Amino acid sequence: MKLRAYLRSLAARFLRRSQVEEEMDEELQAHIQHRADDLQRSGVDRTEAERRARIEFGGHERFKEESREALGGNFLETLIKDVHFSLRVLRKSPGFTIVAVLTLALAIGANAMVFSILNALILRPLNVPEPESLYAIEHGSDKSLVLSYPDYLDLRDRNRSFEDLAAYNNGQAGLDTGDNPSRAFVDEVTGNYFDVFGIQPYLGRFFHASDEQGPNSAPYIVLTYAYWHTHFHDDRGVVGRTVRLNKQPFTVLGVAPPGFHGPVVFFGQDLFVPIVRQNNLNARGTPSLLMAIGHLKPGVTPAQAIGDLNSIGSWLEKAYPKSDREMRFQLAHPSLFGDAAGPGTRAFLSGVMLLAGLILLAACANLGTLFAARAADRSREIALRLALGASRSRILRGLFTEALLISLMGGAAGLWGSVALLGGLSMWQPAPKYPIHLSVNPDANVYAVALLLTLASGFLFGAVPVRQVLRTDPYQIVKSGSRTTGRRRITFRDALLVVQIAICAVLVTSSMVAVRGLMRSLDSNFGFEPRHAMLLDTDLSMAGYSGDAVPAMQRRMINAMETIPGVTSVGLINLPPLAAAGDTNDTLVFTGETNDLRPANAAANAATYSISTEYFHAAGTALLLGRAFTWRDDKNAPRVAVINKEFARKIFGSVANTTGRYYKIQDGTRVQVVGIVENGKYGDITEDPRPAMFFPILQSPSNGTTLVVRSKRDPQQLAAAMRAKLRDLDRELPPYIETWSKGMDPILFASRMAAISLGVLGGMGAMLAVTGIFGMSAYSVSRRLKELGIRMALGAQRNEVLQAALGRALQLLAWGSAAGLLLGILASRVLASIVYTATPRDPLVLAGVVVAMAFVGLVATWIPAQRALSLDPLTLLREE
Amino acid sequence: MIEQGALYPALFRLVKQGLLKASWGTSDNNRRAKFYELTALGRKRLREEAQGWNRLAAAMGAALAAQPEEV
Repeated sequence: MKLRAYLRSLAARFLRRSQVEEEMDEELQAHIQHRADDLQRSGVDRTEAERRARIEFGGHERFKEESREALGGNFLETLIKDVHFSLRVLRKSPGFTIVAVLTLALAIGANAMVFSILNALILRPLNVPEPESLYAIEHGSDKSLVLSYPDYLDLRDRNRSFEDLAAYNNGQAGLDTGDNPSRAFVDEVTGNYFDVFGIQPYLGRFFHASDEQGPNSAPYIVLTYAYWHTHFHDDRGVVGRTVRLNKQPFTVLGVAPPGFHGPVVFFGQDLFVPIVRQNNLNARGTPSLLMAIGHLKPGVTPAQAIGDLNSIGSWLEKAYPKSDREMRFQLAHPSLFGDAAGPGTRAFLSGVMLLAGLILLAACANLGTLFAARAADRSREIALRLALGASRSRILRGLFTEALLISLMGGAAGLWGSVALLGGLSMWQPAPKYPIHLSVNPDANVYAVALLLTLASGFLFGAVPVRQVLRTDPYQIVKSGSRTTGRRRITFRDALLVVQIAICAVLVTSSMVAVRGLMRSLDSNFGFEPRHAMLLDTDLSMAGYSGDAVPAMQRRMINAMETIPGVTSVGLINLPPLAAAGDTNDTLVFTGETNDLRPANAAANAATYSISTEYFHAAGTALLLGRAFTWRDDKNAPRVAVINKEFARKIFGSVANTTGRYYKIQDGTRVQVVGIVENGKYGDITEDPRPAMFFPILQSPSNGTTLVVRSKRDPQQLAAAMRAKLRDLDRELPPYIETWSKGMDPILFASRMAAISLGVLGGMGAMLAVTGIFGMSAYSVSRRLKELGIRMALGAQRNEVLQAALGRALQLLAWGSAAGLLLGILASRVLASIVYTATPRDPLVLAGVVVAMAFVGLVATWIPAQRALSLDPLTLLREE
Repeated sequence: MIEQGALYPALFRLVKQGLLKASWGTSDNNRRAKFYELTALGRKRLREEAQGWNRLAAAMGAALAAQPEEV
């Protein structure tokens, strides 16, 4: 009640301020007039009487002010006055203001940005009902999510823990809406998919489990909202229209709600089709599903669900020993592809968030030092105000108002910058070949966190000079002109600076480790030469090819590309190595003597490729022994393979004399080794050498087609020529053409992001260290001008003067750098898991950090040093 | 010396505490003036403060009137 009354009176006073003011004026005037009347009656003339009455009354304005205060409730008025005053003070020192605002803008901007990404990828739940009980099923020691369709059916029908289980696979298809056929990213989903998510269509309807009636049923398409928006221009009449997907007619059934793009947050597909139309779904052991997901039943814990799944798993292992192994299940949240990308991403983002927090702390330390120095410089002003009767709390309130004003300006600028950058990041497609979509636009959480950080940092650095003000003795200062408090050996400010330099050195160290690692991984040997090679990626099923028509078309494509002038060789592979993280087709292989072809008896799990005759030549892979394929290695010839060194070592024990020998694959086929190539990287840059084998496309056909075109011509011209050649062959086959180096972008994405983000943070850390050291040394020089002048007058040498002026700053720099380097080396162990070949024990990194920190010190102390050296002791001593 | 204006902050403070209430009226020399009067709360407070003051004054008086041998 009291509060409400107070607020009402506050509001009323605020609104009727002029009225209150007028009344007060009138009352005070009336007092003076009454007194003047009295004086006039005693015989003084009117003018003199009024003059005397005013003198007796005293300071009119002062009493009005005090009366206003006595009436109370003028918190807002005081605040407005404080803000006005602070703005005036800040405008008087624009350099300080700009530096402070910029520092904070960078620090808060970085934090808002990192938090926004963290929020979008990790904190924000999936945009579906009850996201917390939605789980993906992963299995085996490698925590793989992929499943075969029959296994999925068994899991779906036999489990008692999930309300329902949906599954999907992703791929691409040629979508023909009447004009040019284009590539579309398609999720092939089970009929119950939308019902499992529990979402409602934005337009039209979804398909359901009841629509699945065998391979020829359900020719339906559901569009994502984004694709409908960009490709159908929000046309509501699209529902019911027939379009052609891979040359087959499909009916557009509906549009999914905005913001729904399946269970993986960074994936943005174009449309959904029922998976039931796939023809080779029934092979157990063929991983035709990317992920199975479902809501746990209410009351079922994840542990119970895992137990339930594992009992189905052991049954599967017994029933299908040839195909089903490692059927031990785990549950994972699907949003970051389960445990495949989740923990790494989470750890990395949390690490970067921590670093960004450190940056903000460093910025606060920096500003705290600046504020403390400023408060010291303003000690005369403060002492004067104290002497004139201002209360200490009022002065502190003023200083805090200044700090908060600066932090609010910095926060606003930083947030504005980060929103702009995040907008760009949301539009950015790190790997245009894949539908990667980072929707990282800030939401209310981000704004709230930014505001919180802004206010917190304002109070944090605003609090630094508090003790100083509280200890100010106005009498001493006004008398002696400057503070005479004894210098302690290690001040709070020094400690702040050391911490800040250490933080900066950590950032510099980790960014250097990451950048070095990235550089080295770009230089490493992949087992092929990505430079001067173009990739043309397509899938022949997009234009309706099947059976024998596939290799025939592939051969025509190779021949057509070879006729382009400047092309030295053209090879074909079903899926190039290092195309997408971890994405290889693996096959179990057995030694030639093995007869019991159970998974447990396999000699190795080899990455498997189908290639054309010229592939090794076009890819730049060295053939060590034997021969490559010829077009005579066809269906009627004996099965042959080219293996890599690691394969030879693992299956046959040595590389020599391996050609001509046999091994077996799972269906029992004996395969003869005809050649051996060098080892390479297949799934991931960080992987250890692993066995790989290559089959001729005529013996192991594939619709997936990537042409490797080696040429030194300009990539753009070459791409245009390749596109034209393909159009001549079949104008309905949509290709994706890029240089091989670009094709490796997805695989380098993680380490690149690590290097970029750490590089940016490292740069910011270095900047903060420069301003911090600069602030401190400039301040120490300006405070000790007199002492330095005396030293010089007494004959001190230049280096002695420098030692006296900057010795302390440099000493702090050295301590901070050493601590930071040590911490950075420790922190970089974490980095090694993300950035390939990142090692902190690299002499170049160590040297780089030392040089960088020395450079930081040099830059930061240059101007103060110049000032100290250019002192003229005579003028100085005369002036002071 | 205390200036006359110093009266006003004190008056406003008492109004705010609810011990005084003010109203505009006309003074003897025909000028608009503000008249202050004690509220019930103000009278009660005055009594309390007056008692306190009397006690203090009495104690002081007793102390000052005391003869050396009585201490």
